[in-house]
Amino acid sequence: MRRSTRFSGVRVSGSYAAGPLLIASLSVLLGACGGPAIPPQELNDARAAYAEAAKGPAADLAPAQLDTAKKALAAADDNFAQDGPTSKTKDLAYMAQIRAEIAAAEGGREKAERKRAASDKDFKNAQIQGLENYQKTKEALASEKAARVEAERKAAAAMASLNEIAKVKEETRGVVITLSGSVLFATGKSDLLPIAKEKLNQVAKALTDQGFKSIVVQGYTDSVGSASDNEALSMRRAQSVRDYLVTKGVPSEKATAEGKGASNPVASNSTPDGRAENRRVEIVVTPEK
Amino acid sequence: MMSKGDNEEAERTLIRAQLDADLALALAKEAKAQSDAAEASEQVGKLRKEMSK
Repeated sequence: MRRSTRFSGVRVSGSYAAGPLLIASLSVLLGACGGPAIPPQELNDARAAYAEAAKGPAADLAPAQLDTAKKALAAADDNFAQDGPTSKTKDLAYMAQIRAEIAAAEGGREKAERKRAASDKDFKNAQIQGLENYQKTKEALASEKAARVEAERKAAAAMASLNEIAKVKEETRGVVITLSGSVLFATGKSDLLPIAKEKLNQVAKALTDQGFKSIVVQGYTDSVGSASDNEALSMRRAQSVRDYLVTKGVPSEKATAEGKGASNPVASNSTPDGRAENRRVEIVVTPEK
Repeated sequence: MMSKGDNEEAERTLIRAQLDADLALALAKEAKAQSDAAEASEQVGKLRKEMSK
């Protein structure tokens, strides 16, 4: 019904060309028979236009315009009831139809404007959210960087601390911390000396500060004595060190002990100094990454 | 001199013409509003798509 082609109230569509003639003929016939007058096409169109407008957004969004259309339709209906399908009735009906179509257009406009306002709000919110996400990402990156710097600082400090009490070197098997057997144990014993515990406290702190994937505590002896005795002694010493480190915070499941006996000497066993160097405990650290 | 009936008819003709103009304006405004709404909605879609990258 809306947007029908019209020019100053005269329809140019061909669909109604025969309508008025038919209606006029029927009206004459019915009038002659004393029956009710048939509403003119304009009035039917006006009623349909109003019904359509009332179903649409105009009901909520253009109620004043819809009410005006309703009153205009009532005026056309009244005139039709009073005078029949006169030219005035048709004019009034046409006016009612146009008012209904205006109301529908106003409702549609209001609905579209509200939709646009909602979209504008969404756009603004999305912009704010984007900005917030950017800030969060920026902060997270800064925080991550600070954490990395701090971790590197702690690792460096831990390494420096270790270097003061033991030889530390990086090998393909991991970072190897070598502690002299003479500062850890009395000759032939596997109980830790008091000075050994102080050193191992520092080792445990460095390890827990730095973090690691696993450690293997390996005990070594010089070549004096039987191989089986040396292996047994080196195992007991490695186990002592490993157990002590666990009591100081090294996770038990990450730490193991091995007795290597007189294998893998780092110096000659033919001199006292060389044998002293061979009597040692090595802690092989596998880094986290 | 026009009769009373002629005056009324002329007045109705004027009103009809005015209403035609009002309707044309209302339809144009509605079309503009719908176009603006569609554009705004498209902009939101583009922005969200950009943000999800």
